[in-house]
Amino acid sequence: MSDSDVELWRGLCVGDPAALTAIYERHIDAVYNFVFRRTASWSTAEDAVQATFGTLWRRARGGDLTPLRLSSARPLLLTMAGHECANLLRSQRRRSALLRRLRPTPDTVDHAPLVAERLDDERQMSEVRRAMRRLPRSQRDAIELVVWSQLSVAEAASVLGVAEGTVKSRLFRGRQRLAGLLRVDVAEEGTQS
Amino acid sequence: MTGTDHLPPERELPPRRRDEILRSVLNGEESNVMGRQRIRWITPIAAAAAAALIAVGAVALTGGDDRTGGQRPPVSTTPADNTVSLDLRSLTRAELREELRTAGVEPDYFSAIHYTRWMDGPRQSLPFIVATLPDRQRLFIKMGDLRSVEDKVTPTPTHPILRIEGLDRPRYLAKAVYDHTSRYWKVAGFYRVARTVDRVEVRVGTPDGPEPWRSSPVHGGYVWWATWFKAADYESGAELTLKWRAYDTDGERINPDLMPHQPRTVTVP
Repeated sequence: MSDSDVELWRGLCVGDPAALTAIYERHIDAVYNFVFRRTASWSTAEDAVQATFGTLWRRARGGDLTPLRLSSARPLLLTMAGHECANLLRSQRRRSALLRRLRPTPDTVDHAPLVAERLDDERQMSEVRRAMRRLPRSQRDAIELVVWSQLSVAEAASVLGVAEGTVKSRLFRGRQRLAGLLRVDVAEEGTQS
Repeated sequence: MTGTDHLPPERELPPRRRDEILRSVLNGEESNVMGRQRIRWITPIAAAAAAALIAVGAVALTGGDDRTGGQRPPVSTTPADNTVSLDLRSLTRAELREELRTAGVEPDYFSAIHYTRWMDGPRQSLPFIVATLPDRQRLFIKMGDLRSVEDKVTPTPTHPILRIEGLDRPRYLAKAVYDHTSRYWKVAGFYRVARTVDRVEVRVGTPDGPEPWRSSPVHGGYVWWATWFKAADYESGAELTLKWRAYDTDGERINPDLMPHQPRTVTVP
């Protein structure tokens, strides 16, 4: 099978479930990990995966998909996943605020049903996100797409709607700043421990 | 250092969860978090289901949409002989290309195109397309803006008229194809038929009522049928008869026993 998604995308555009299944199998892990890195939550990542492909399928059946401009659907899927993350996080914040008003946060949390590895992942990712939040949004997007999700600069430029040179400069500045922030965090952790 | 070396390792969704998500996406189920509007796959009305629909008192009151079609054929008026053709004309090559362009494909994407017709509707005509996908096993069906992919079915002498499989949610089809208003009640279906079948006609109303037979000719082995009435023309609760009949290429009526389902009555909402 070709690495290109163009043919599959044509099938998707006409509402072919087999095309959706193939695109899903091809990109689900990339979307899943992209969303986890943005939310630091594996369970939110699952919801965002479902929301992303659900939106894709609705758009396919509703005639709202346009032909693929790139040979890979991944850049577009990651962009869609980014929007779904924002929606999910907004609704989670509203729910959390409501719960806080309704009942106090318990002192202890029952971790029994959770897998320790996944908790470690989430803790570790939260620390990286804390540093990432101090970067401008444009630099965060560039790092998430190119460095973390291995899109090409051209692919990232296409989905971000900017020139390749702009992506490169955002990457350069973002990398420099993030490296500094992470070194500080590591040093602070060392001091505290 | 760009955070990559600080990132947790990549993980894969467990196979069972992957399958669950895919299944729910294909079924149009909402995410348990987002509470999205659930979009269901739309289906044509089969006659038996029309009866079931009455049984649960769930008649859909729907009508044509308000879109203004540029070159679309005009909606027909009530005919003198009480039979009106649903079929208005074939799509031109340019119209076909434009309709498929909205689906992101060109006509040569398909291995065959069987049906390209402008069909009458409650308030405006709509384009209908049936084509075989490149795998030659499945059909692409476009009904107005609604589209579907279904497995091919083959009629036989004992089953000359087959509902296209998968379109099994009858009460939603006409509503989805023609969009929502409160002025019309309507039903519709898409069928694959044998070569011997010439046309299908559908009517709803009282024996002496004003509703015409809507006649739909077969093209390329496929037929779209639909009928509707203005809700305001009948009192709420009135029982109307829903009938359909088919004719072969010799002009003879096809034995009703060979029809897939025989519609019965509908109750005016």
